[in-house]
Amino acid sequence: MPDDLRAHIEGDLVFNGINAITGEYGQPPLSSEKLARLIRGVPLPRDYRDLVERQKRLADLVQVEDRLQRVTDAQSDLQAKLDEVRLSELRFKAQNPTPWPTIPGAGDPADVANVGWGAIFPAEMHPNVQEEIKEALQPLFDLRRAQAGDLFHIYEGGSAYRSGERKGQFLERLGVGPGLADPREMPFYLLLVGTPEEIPYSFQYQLDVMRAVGRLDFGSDIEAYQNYAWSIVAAESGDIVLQRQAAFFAPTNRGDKATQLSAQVLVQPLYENLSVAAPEFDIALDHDWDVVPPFMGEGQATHDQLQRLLGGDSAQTPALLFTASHGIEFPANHPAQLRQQGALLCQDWPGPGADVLRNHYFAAEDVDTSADLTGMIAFFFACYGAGTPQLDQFASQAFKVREKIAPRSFTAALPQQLLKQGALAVVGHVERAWGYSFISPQGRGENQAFITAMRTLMNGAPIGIATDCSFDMRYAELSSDLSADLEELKWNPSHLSDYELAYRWTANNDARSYVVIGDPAARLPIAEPAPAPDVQPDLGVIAVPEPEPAVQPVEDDSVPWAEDAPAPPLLGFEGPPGVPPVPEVEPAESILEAEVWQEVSVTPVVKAAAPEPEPVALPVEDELVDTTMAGISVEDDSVSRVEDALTSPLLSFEGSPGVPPVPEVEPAESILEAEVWQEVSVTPAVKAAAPVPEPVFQPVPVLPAALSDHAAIGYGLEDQFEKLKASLKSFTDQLATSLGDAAEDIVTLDVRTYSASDIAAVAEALDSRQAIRATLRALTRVAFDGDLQVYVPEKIDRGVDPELWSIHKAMVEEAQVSRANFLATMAELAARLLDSLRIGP
Amino acid sequence: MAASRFILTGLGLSPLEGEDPLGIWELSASRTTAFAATAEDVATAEDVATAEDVATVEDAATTALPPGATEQGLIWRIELPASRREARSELETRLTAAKVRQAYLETAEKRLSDLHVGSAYSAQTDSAESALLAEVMALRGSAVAYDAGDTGAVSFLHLYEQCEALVARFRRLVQYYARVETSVGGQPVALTIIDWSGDYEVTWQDGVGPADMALHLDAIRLVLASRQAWLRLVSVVASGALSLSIKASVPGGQFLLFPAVYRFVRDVLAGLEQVQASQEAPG
Amino acid sequence: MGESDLRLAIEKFAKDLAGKAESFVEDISTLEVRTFTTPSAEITTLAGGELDLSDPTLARQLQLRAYTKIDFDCDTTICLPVDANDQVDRSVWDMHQTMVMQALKTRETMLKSMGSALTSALDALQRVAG
Repeated sequence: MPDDLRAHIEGDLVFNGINAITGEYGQPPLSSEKLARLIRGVPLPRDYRDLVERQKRLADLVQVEDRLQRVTDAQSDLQAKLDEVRLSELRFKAQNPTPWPTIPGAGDPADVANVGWGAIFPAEMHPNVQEEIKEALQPLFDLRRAQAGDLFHIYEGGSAYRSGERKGQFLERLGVGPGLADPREMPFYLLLVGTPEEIPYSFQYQLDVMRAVGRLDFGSDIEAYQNYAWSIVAAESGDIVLQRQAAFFAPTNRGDKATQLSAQVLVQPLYENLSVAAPEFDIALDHDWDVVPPFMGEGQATHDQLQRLLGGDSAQTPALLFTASHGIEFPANHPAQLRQQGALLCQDWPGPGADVLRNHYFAAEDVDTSADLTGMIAFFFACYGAGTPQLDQFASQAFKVREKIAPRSFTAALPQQLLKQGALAVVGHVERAWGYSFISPQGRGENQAFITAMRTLMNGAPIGIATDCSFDMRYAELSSDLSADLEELKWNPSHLSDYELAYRWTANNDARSYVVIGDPAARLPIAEPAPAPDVQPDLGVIAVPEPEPAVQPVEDDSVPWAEDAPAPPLLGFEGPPGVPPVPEVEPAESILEAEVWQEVSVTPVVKAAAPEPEPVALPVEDELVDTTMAGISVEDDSVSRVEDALTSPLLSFEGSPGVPPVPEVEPAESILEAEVWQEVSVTPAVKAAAPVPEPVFQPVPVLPAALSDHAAIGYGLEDQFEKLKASLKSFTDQLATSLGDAAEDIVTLDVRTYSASDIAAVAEALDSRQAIRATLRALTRVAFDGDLQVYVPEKIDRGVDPELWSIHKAMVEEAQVSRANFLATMAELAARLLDSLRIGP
Repeated sequence: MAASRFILTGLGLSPLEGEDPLGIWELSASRTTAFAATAEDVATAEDVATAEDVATVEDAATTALPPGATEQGLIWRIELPASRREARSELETRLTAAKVRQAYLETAEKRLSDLHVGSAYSAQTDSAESALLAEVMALRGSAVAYDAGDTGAVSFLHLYEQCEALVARFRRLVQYYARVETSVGGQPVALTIIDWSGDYEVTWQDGVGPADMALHLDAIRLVLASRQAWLRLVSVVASGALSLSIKASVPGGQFLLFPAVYRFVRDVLAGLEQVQASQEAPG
Repeated sequence: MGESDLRLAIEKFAKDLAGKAESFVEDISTLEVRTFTTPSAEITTLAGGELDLSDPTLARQLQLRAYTKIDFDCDTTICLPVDANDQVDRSVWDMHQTMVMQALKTRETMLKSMGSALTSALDALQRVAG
């Protein structure tokens, strides 16, 4: 490897996202050391020692030292246990390579007829919208049903995806077992129909581990669904035939390390590999392909060229397109974010620090509306190229609350547009793409996943198979290896260097996040082999005929569908031999991310509320009568878990009764457990013990001595200067006073409800601090631990007004919620102001 | 049909700072009794706090008030129309706006942190950044351009006055909590005092019905959401001014930058609101 | 200048809050809801001032009418209000029950919110401690 490239590799990590507003990297270059520190935000002994040490320094103020030591030990144990559970499916996939990902008796998974096809709708989709979409996709459904027969299924209504559901819950609810895909239980090819808000990316990642999953998201554009369905039908019925041509697009922006790497280490080798029909150890191409030399670098990988490749010039539009570039990133809620995030930044951009102009990047609206992309499949290696999640997936969960990077999770507009104009599928990246996904720590290019995916696709396999045997396998292997490494690191901190750890974590994260936009069973509609032309052939895409169902829908109601009748055995296959008894687990999207924590849904409120009690007479005296009620059992160490919630993001979860030996992370059964889980995302005290971040700034004097030499003084504005000082002091003094009052008075919270005949008089009395008679109607005093005392007047002439009581109760609730929010805000304000005031380094 | 009014008295922002950056409240400096609202409630040039008033900010409790009266603090007055349906709609709209502004503050904060001092700007750059940077450059330049003469003295005076006034307003925000007064169709409904420990004291007009009770509860929520947004805004201004003063190498400039950063945040909120409104416009 | 005062205030705030949080956690093992009635509907108060429930005069006027205690393992003790005829006083009981539900519901919210407040306080404290 050239020395200059090696220098690149061993330096800072650069991520493939450019901020469209600043022209800077969306994620600033990060040294592997810093990244490793971030990664190590997840419990590792070294950091827990730091955590405990730091907490000890604060222990005289918060007095939680002993609890913390138990917490750290319990967290380590728990993390190990849950990692093992979650990785078992990925480890199984990595350690049991099979020629195909379905049960052995199912047959060739490239054939939908063997392994089935299904569509999953979200339960929260409006029924009218769903019906319209289904109708629009009917040609596709008819095609797949004809192919899959009894192995075709639409998951809707009761079997639809339910909001917040994890893959494990979804499968279990539908009676589907873990491990290799058994098409009799659930088809291998699954198309998610809906937005990533309706069916989250996390579900797509998880489901994609053992199945081939794609997504269609055109929002409310029903015509787009219909056009896409006809594109698939046309491609598979032979009405569309494309010449075997593959093209590459790779900008190398000046001074930009990321695109230099992606061009030299990913695209160029990929092109060279695919130019050879049967290289050693790689999948041989069944047919000859015209692999066009990459459009790379200056004068080549321009905006105009990309437009030509994407239908602007039919002679240059390939069947298979691979791009590697920066993806455009916008600030959250920016007006252009939903339309343009993930757009491909072209050679036209001068490089880091330069403004990003609109004509530097290629977005959905740049696709020539007359362009016919029917049959194309594209790969985008770029940040946000396939979509954007609402929350930052990159931030380490242990020490930081996730930042919102978008108003909602959304599918990138460019792939959507390509599909609207005939493309069959786009493979791209959700969230940031990592330059280190194709380079090993030793500086070797590791682009085998890309090579395998491309060759598989070029041989006519469905896109879902192409990504399964490449990116999914890579993800499984990386996760499995990383888990083992982290386990080893607990005992041997020098097991991996920061650099190596950073690499493994980024590669794992990257491999997980590749998704298919489109039908996972889609395949390139390529021509039969023909003699290699002497000249560049005219692609001459055949026009789509009048819309007509390619297959007739089966109307025989006597044929039971898979959901109604037990599936017949496949080829006399009686059972799933060889499938290991892998328990139902949730694979980690990344074992380091506490998405696994966020996956735990919070139990709806008051599940633990006692049922209607048996009436027991109250003696006249204050002597109390015990009436034991049946309640919901909670683990004995629940008190300490509540403590943990206030001091640590992770918990000693023991599991609910009845949970199988391999505990699954199920929603807690008591509100207190549920609340404890919910605490995780907020990261209490641990945040205070985070690895010391790089200081954003150096403290500067408020009014440094140098200011006395300031021009203001020189202009004779000493009086104004003193007034400003006085004003500032008054502000900080007041803030200090209010903060003190807030902290001291929070032992109890009183909500009093009065009534008066003249509110205006009450207001005047307030203004003049005079006494006034008012009728106390209700008083609730809430202790800090939530105990309530309620005071109401005895029944007199009016009794207790139910409406007044109802509003009083609402006020109590409002008061409790708002107080806690206010305390947090005040603390934040005080801290920020203190930063501004800090004097001297 | 009487229109709604949402009036905040006691914060006393002067026209230097413009209107409520949340776009929800009319700001009035009047200290008259709330439920006896008259046309005098509307801020006049005489009522607006001046630099002299600010100079005695520590004695505000005993000066600039009627004899025998005490500082009323912040009074949030909500005057709703007689139509309960309209009243509810108004409250819901403003409550949503308050929450949306909080989200916008995150955007403003991000734009502040992304700001590069000294870089050129493309057509994509919002004018708020340009305006802010112009002020920063002026301040930075003034620090060394001692020969600016009288022009320099006047501009610094102006800057100090703005800064003082703004800080004084921030102080009032943290000094007083909330007193919420709701009237419907011109009739008082309830008065609620919320103190720093979070205690509520709600006084209802005798005979008030459940619909009006619910309106007052919503009014309280709106006030608390507005407070939250205001406190957040102060946080963003404080930290934004500090980081900008570092980037721009303006010694001790974080407080002198308060007014400029405040205006930037206010303009960003307004800009985002305009974009939102245009996206929701029919046709 | 104001910095030292603010620093002290933040320290005290965080310390107080942490102390409250600790006692909160210790006390959270049980939840108690008491409903009292007062014979007198009209109470003189300084508007915006104090209502001293520990005042013996007032205390004598208060009558405990219903009591619910819920232990952490959800064992529940309930005392129902009865009227002069030993019949359950439904109006008081209904009111009491709604407050029990309220207490359960809001306590989980308070847990979460206190976590946020404590996070902010400790973060501020960390910056103070440097």
